[in-house]
Amino acid sequence: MKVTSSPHVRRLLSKPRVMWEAFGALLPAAIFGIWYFGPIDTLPQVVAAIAGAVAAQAIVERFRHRPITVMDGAPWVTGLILGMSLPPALSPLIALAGGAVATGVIKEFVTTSTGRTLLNPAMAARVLIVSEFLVPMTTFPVDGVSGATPLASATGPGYFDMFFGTRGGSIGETTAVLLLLGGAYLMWRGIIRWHIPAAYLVGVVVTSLILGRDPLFDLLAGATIMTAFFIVTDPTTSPATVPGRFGFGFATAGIATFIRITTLFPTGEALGVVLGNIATPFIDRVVTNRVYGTGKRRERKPA
Amino acid sequence: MKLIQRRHIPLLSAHKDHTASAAITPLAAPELVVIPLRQHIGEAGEPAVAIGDRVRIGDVVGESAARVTATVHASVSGRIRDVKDYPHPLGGLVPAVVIENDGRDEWVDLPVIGEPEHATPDELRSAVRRAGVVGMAGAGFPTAVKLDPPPDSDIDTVIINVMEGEPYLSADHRMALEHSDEVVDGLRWIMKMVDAPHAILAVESDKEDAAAALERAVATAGLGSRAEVRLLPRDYAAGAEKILVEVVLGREIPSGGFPYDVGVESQNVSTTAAVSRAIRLGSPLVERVVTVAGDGVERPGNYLIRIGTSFDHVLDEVGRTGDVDRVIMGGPMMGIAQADLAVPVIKTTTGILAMSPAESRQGSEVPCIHCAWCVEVCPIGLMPYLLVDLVRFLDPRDAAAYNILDCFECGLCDFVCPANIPLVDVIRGGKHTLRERTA
Repeated sequence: MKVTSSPHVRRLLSKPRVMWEAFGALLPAAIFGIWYFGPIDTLPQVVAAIAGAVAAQAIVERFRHRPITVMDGAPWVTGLILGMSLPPALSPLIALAGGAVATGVIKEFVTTSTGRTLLNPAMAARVLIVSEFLVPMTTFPVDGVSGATPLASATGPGYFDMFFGTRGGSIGETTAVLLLLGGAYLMWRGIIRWHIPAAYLVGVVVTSLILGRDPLFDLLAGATIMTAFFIVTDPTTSPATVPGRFGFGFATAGIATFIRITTLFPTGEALGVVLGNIATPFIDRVVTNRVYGTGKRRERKPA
Repeated sequence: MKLIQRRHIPLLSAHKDHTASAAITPLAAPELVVIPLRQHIGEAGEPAVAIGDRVRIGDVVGESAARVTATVHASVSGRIRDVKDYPHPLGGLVPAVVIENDGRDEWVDLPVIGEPEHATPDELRSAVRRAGVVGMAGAGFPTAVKLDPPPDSDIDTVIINVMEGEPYLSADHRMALEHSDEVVDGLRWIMKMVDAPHAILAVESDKEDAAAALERAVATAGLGSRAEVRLLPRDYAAGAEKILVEVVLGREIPSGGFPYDVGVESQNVSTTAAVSRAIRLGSPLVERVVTVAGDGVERPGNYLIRIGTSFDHVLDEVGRTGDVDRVIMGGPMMGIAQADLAVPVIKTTTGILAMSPAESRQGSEVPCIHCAWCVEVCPIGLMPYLLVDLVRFLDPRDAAAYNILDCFECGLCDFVCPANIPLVDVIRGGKHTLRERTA
C-alpha cells in the first residue's frame, strides 16, 4: 500500500495536456499563415523553429542528466510561437538557430533565483535573432513581392484584411480572427485567464490614443492579438495574482506599443514582452493577495 | 432555507453516490478493540485500568487531569488484555488499552443529569467532558474546552457545520438526516453553554434532505425563533471552520485566532449529536459513524463502529474487492494514508477509504510552470507555489512573511497542480520547521 501525503486525488489537467492544448489552439492561425503565404516559403521555417526548440531542450536535458521531457509539449509550443513570429521566406537555418536558442539557452539558463525561466523563450530568441539578422528578419514579401507590413507602410491594408489576416506580416500573426478563436478556446478550457489579455489590449488602446494614433489599427496590426492571448499569457513569465496580472498586461502593452511606434527597432512587441517579463518575479513578491484574517479587510455584507 | 452565494470553484466531484443514500448500519464489534489513550489534541490520558481488569462499555480506561484533554472509555465489555504502545492512524505509536470483547455488551451505569434544563453551563460542560467528546470532523479538539470560551468573548452565533465537503464522505450527512432531533437537542445545550442567542445550521446544498429534516427538528424543538437552517452551495473549502464563518456571517477569524474572537461558536454536526447523548443519556463517545467507501470496498456505506475496531476488521466486514492502492483515514483531500491496517478507528475517523489506483493520485512531479492555479484556488489567499519555492530553495523563514502558518492544508492547490507537485507536503514541512525554530 502506498503511504503518500494528502490530497490523494487530483484534477486530470496535467502539464502535457495544458501544453498540447495550447499548441492546438495556435494551429489554425499557423495553418492559415502557411497557406496564405505559401507552404514553400513558410513551412520549412515553422518546422525548423519547432525542431530547433525540441532538439535543443532534449540535448540540454541529456547533458544535465535530467529526464527528457520534450514530449510534454512545452518546447513544441515555444518553437511554434517563434516560427509563427518569423517573416515568410526567412532562411530556415535562422529559424532553427532561433528555436535552439529559445529552449537551449533562454529557457534553460536565463532563470530566477529559484530556477524558473525569466523571459518568454520565443520572444527573447526573436529579439536576439532580429539583432543578429536585421535585414532578413524585416523583409516581408506580400503576394510573392517584397513589400511593407501594415506597421511599416503608410497606406496599409483595410480593417477587413487585417482582421482576417489577408495582409503582409509574420507567418502566423496576421489572422486576428483565428487567433481570437484560439484564445477563446484556451479561456473556455480554463488554461488561460482573461485578465492579462484584457489588460494588454486596453494598454495598447490607451498607448495608441496617447500617441494620437488609430487604436483599432494598432490592435489589429503587428502581433498584438497573438501577443495578448498566447505570449504575455505564458504562465511561467507572467505574474500569479489578478492585480499583478492586470498591472503586468497593461504595462507590457504600454512598453511594447511605445517601442513599436516610436522607435526604429523592428520587433518592438517582442522587446516589450521581454522587458515586462523581467518585472514578473518582483511583481510576484510584492503584489500578493490579502490573506484571510490578516491586514485590512474589505467589508463584506453577511449573506 | 436561504441560499448563500460564494465564489464558486467547480472542481471536486463528490463521489458520494454510493454512500449518501446508505442508512447508518451497525458494524459487528470485533474480538479485540484497541483504545489509544490519545485521540485528541492535548494531553494523552494515563491508563486507568490494569491488565486483567474487567470493564464494561463506558468504563474510563484513560484520563488526565490536564485542562485540554479527553477521557477515553471502553467500547466493549470484557477483560483488559494489554496496555502498550500501538500503531496509531495519525502516525507513530501511542499508548493504548487492548480489550478482549466478551460479547455481552454490558454497560456501566451512566451518570445522567436529572434535569439538564436546570443545570448550569459548568454542569453541562462537565457532562461533555466526562463523555470524552472531541471534535469529530477530524481535528479532535476537546469539545468541553471549545464550549468554554474566555469569559470576555461575546458569542452571538452558534454555527453547526453540516457541510462535509470532502468527497466520498457522507457520515455527517446521514447523522443530520437520521438523528436530526439529537442534533438540534445538542445545539440547544451548546447555545446554553456559550450563552448564544442565535444559531445557524449550515448545510451544503447536496444534502437537501438533511436540511429539511433539521428544519423540522428545529420547529419541533421550539427553537424556530433562535435557530435557522441555511443551505449553502457546494463548495469544498466552505467546510473549513474559518471559511464557513466568513461565508455565513461575513466575519474573518483573525490569523492565529479562534471563532470566539469574532463572537462565534462552531461545532460539527456529529459532535453536536454526541453532546446531546452526553447530556441526555450520560453516554460516552464509544462509537461513531464512519463512511467506508472506495473501489476496494464491496459494500460501501455508513457504519456505526466501536472506537478501537481495527481497519482490517472493518474492511473484512464490508468486503474487500479489487486492487487497493492505498487506504485513507478521512477524506481523499485531507485524509491520512495508512501503512498498517491494524490501526484502530478513533473518535476522529470520519471515513475509511480503500482506493484503487484508478481513483487515486498517481504519477511523479515535474517542474512548476507557474500557472498560478494554486493561487487562484487557495481559499485564504495564499501563494502556494511561492511558499514551496521559499521552503525548498530559499529560506523557510521568509515563508512566514507570506503567512505559511495560516495554511490549514485543505489540499486544493495540490489537487489542481498540473505539475503534480506535492504542495501540501512541502508546506506542512515548512510549517513544522518554522514551529521548531520558534519553539
